[in-house]
Amino acid sequence: MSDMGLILRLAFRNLFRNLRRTVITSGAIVAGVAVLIGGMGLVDGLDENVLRANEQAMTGHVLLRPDGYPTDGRSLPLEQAVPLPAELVSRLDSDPRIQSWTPRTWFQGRAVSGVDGMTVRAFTYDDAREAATFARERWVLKGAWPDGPGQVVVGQWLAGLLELEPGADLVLEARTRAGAINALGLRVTGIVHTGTPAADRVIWVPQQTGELLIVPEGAVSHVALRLDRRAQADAVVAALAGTGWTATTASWEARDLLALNAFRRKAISLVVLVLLLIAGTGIANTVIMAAYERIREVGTLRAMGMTTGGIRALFLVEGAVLGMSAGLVGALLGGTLVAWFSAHGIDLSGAADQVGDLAMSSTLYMRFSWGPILAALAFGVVVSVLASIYPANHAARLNPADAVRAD
Amino acid sequence: MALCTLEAVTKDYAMGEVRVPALQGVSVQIEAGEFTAFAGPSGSGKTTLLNLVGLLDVPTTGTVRMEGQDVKALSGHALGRLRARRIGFIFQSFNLIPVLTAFENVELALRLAGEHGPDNGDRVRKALVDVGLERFMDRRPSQMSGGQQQRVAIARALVKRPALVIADEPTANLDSKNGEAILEDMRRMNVEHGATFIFSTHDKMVIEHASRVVHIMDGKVLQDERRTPRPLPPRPPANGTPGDGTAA
Ligand SMILES: Nc1ncnc2c1ncn2[C@@H]1O[C@H](COP(=O)(O)OP(=O)(O)O)[C@@H](O)[C@H]1O
Ligand SMILES: [Mg+2]
Repeated sequence: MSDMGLILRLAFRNLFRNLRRTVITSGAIVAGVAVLIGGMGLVDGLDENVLRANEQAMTGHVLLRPDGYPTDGRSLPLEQAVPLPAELVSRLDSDPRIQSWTPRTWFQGRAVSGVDGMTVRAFTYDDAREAATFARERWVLKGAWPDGPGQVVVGQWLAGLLELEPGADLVLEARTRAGAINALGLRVTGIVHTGTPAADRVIWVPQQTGELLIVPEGAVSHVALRLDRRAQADAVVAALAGTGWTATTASWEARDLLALNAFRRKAISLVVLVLLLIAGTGIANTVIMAAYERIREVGTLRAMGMTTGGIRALFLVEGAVLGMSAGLVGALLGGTLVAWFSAHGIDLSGAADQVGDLAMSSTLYMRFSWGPILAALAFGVVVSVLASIYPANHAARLNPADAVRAD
Repeated sequence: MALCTLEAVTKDYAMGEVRVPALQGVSVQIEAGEFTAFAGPSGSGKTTLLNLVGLLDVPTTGTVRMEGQDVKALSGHALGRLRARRIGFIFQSFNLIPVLTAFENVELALRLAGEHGPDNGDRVRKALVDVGLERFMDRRPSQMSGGQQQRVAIARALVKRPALVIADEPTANLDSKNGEAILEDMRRMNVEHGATFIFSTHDKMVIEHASRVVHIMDGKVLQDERRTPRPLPPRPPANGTPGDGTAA
């Protein structure tokens, strides 16, 4: 029986025969496909968010640290910062993939504002290089960047804690690189909001002021590189081996969060798997009921010469069409959701406290891609067809002489 | 050569441990062009016999020949092909495909017979016009009366110009007026197109239309009589609705 047009027509019409049953059965597939697409779009968006946040305010595409300097991001040993070797500088300047680079020297200190005092992190930076390397145009700055000695910018979150406004004064205590205790009275010229919590909780100290406070004598703890394209990061890391500096990519720096996202993907897949198993059971049930209700029809078709293969195909195609249409509805739902939130974003600023010290921008854009949509659709169809195999075989095995007489 | 031959055919059904002998040595020859009734009370074996002649089932012992060929030698697949091309079926409960229109139900028979010619549409229309349903082609079975549905079934059985049409109690679900009309339609197909009909019934009125009556009782042939059928009245006006009722 090779008349696929006929089989498709019958299968389609049969789905509308008991529309309520079809719709109810489709529910689990619709949900499974929509959850898969929405979930993957969300987690892919989280990935992108994490990476972009790192790249645009913290690490650049590639981050350099002196060999031996801790990479956990927690401890900031100033004594392990070292001056940039001339040889490294010339390599950074001559590599055509590197658009720009900027050094930072991180340190720990204590900020005192009025009677409040708290332990803080801070870094010194080179203003011109920072502007070239990071996406400053995306940040929100209340006030102004420092333009003279003794001036600093404070991250928005920290400014909130210390109740600082542009124009406020604070005292920053820190040890110099040599280990002496030092303190400096500073004027806050601006409050910066990068959308990256790790950058919004620190004090930004211009190099000339930092020299007075921590006396780094040219020592640097981090160098962030901006590349033409993110995809070049691995190659640039490899090219910078053997410089006495350890290079890492933005995605390596974000590995904990990315691993968390990988785990989230697994969790979503598990939920979807369960949903699709439920869907499969429902579809099997629907097709079995259809097969029992239509015994006489099956007998008639067999009497008229339809082969067992044709009968089997009829029920399998019915299952496939059910899975495909439910999958399309689910894909439309999930895809629309993802497309919307990939354009408009989800504001996470209220949740920033839970986001903690991690590099993550506070507006989440879902990531739209066709991969999960096609995978979910295929999965929906496969589940439906698998669920239809048993009823299809049952119907195909009916004896036509008995079947034409069934009530 | 006879169109269809049964030689000493028996058929047993297994009902749990019990064997039910539905046919106990039946020999019949059907010639092309006949309009044969298998008559007998309920349970006498008429349906079983028609299933064998219609190649829907195989005998327990004995031989069934279709156009000279012993059907025992044929695979299920080959039997299906023979049914699709050479045999038309009319059922007691009409058995139209509910999701297809009258036109599509008739067309289905052609497609299953492997006929995909460009004149299929014309053939389907002609078959429906022949049974007076030209205004009902786009109706689904649920939108038609029992009599109309059975006419679609006649068109469906005849559109492929089969060698043999099998009708198992074709009027049993119809009131007498519609039953009579259906029989007249079948007779007309027999007379005008030379189609061979075998049908079963226990209705005297229906038997009067037959040119041959094979009386069945307890799975055996009691009597095989040739008779002159009642004269066929002139063709009714083609509106397809002599009464609309369906017997309960
Ligand atoms: N599938 C079956 N299984 C068991 N017994 C059957 C089956 N079909 C028919 N029979 C029995 O075979 C006998 C003949 O039945 P059938 O051919 O249907 O007679 P009719 O069509 O004349 O009423 C009856 O006794 C019936 O009960
Ligand atoms: Mg019967």
